[in-house]
Amino acid sequence: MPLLLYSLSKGDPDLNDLLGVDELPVLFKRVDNIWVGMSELKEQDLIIPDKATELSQHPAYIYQEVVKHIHSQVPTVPVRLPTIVADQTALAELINKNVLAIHKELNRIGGMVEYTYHFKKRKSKQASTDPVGLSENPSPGTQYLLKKYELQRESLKLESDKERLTSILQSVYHDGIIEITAQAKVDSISVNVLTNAAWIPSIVGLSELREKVDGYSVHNFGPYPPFHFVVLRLVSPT
Amino acid sequence: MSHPELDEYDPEEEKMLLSDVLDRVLSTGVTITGDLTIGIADVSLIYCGIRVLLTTVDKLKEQNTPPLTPEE
Repeated sequence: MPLLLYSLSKGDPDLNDLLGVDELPVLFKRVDNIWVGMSELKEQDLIIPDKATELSQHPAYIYQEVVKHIHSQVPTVPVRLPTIVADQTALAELINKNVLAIHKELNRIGGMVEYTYHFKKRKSKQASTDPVGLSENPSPGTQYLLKKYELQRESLKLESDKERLTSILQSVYHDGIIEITAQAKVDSISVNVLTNAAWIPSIVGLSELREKVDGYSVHNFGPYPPFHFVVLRLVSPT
Repeated sequence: MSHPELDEYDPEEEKMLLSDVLDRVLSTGVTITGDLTIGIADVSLIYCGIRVLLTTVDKLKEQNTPPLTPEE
């Protein structure tokens, strides 16, 4: 029976009655001293779920919450969704072939957490992007070029702000951050920080951050399992 | 422990959070190298899994569902 994998853990999470994607029970199997969180898939589980009308019932959200729950019990590294192996034998072979790498990754980040910071650009009156007056009675071609220019300008600004905001975040929370990743999106910048599980971002730090990041609102979420900091790639036993 | 700083409901916030969850579970975590795609009834499970997710995201957008709070 195919298995949908959620997590690799150092110990037994000792969780009963945990339900995963599509309300399938989450099972834990010990292979080479690693506890694998998984659900058994059946053919009918592949039907597109019409019931996912709320985000809290969305498969991706449920998947995240299952891994969070496991990680709250034992040091865990998340497995990317959707990772599926053919059966228990294939799972055992996969873990057996990668056992040292898995232990190494669990020891490196299994007990850590990540927080996400969103820096969302505030809407403000913008300086003219058309200093020479091209947009007075613009032709469709000019309109297109002006729009393109504006998008490029925004994109460059976000990239440059990404470095600046990451640096400010590091200066505010220098005592807690172990690793940091940042990604510029359409109108926001998402920064993930890896910390020790005992570390909690301070409210004072958040206030300081808000004062320093001109032009952006700051939202922070977490803790989550260290999704963004996993570097483990399991080699398939072919 | 959570520190959501959502001042008020904002449809843009919902998009950001959904995008955040999808980024997290679909783009990060342990991966497997090599071709482990398996199938049932000639449909690739891995492909099907992604299709299921994307389809439900579209449904959510169409239906203007309420926002997800991080620790809901």
